[in-house]
Amino acid sequence: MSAPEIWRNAKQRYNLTGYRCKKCGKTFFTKRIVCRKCKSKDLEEVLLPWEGAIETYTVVRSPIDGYETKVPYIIGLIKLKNGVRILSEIVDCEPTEIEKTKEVELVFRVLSKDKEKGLITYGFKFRPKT
Amino acid sequence: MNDGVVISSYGLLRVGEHWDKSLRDLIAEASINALEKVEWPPVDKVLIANAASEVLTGQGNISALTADQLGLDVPSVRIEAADASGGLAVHEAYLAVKSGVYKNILVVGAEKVSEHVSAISVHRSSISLDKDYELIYGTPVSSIYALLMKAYMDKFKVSREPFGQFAVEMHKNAVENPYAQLRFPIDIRSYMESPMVSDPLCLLDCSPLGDGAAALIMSSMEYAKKFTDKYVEVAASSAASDALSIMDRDSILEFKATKIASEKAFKIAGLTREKVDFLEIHDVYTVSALITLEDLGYAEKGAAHKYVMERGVSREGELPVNPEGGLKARGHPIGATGIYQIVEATMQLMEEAGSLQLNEPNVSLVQSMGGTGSTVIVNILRKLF
Ligand SMILES: [Zn+2]
Repeated sequence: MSAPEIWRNAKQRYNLTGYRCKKCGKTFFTKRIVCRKCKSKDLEEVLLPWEGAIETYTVVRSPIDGYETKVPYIIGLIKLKNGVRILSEIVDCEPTEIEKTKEVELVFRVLSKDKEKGLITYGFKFRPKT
Repeated sequence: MNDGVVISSYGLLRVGEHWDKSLRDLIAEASINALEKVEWPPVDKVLIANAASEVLTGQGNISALTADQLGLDVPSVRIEAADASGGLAVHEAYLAVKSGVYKNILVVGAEKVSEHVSAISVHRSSISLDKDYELIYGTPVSSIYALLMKAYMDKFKVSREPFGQFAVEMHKNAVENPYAQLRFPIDIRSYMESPMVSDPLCLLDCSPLGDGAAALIMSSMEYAKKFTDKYVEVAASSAASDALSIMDRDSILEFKATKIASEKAFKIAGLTREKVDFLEIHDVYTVSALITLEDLGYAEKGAAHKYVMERGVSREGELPVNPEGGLKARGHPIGATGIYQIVEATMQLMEEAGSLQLNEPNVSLVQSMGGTGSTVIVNILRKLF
């Protein structure tokens, strides 16, 4: 991850901001300039709810390059309280405990460290609701 | 506008680890194989399907590399749409011939994935996902399909068995396929015992990445007649797109682009589902095959597991699926895979499929998918001779 990239994404990753279409009301987490649904350009930045429920999850045991020491780790598809779907790692939860976990909440964590430049990327993850 | 677009020749290499071959060797061998079969008719355009040569081999500008290897000075275009690159290249060739501007196109798909150890290759081929919103959490493509598989199993109360049964059938087919990567049979017990890759998706749900190259000559019917009397018609070619990430899909239990592309393709070809004699579908993971059977309209929503267990997908059944073993067992040379699918369907329709030959098939539907359903191409091939 480069420094400009970290800076550019900070707001979304630190605060969980998304994009709401003022015309049709659809809210997206992924960055957009035009509404995927109605094509309006009248989008506003909104803070997304920091709580949601797990829609589906997986326990990664065969990781990609750079994540070998993390296995097993949990990836979840989460439905936030306002219905927006978001993908995130789920932390502070044993793989054996995830099946009975339903409600989750946002936590602020390290996402990755650049081996060469030493840059640290921070951002949200989710954990079982305390 | 041109009347008919046909496939007049094909070539392919076995999928696997070709330590002795570079990307340029793979491209050249498959292309020459296809060209020699019809004694090198003049080619007026080249399309090269490749998903990730930059990150997998360090080589860019492979459209020029391809033309150069064949000593051609005609336009050469690289097509990239992740795993759907091959299917999309066939679609683009279809359009180019249909327009009347080009008459005889070499379409080659090639991917060199074995230059790196497996974890790096998997990482680098996972760039088809959304880098900012998915890959940032260390998600291999397998983990996204695992999310879909888990959602499917929960929603429709399905066990792992039908997924396993699909894998068993694919391996059974590949045993007799000289071009397949995994030429060994498996049974449901070995499936159940195979290690978890990303729960509930196990190793035997995955297609293996492999080096590979396959090529086609796509021509106007009129032009093909000058050098061959055996060709297969591309009766329809249709493509559609969906959100890059599953986050932005209305439903994660279907691939909308498959529905759009296939409905259009049936209309263009003037055929109904029932007229199709065998399917070639994108079984990159077993779950993608099951969902695809539903999206294509062969199984009801949520009933593909029953379809696999009861009606079956074998070569002996009513509607064979991936008679050469599919991605699951023939192997998955990412950008070349879509070309393999079309080559295999062509071999069946030309009745050149050897011991895998089906009983006089006339029509095949071929579905290629990129990423986790973000690009889908449906091509319908029909026997003409
Ligand atoms: Zn809108």
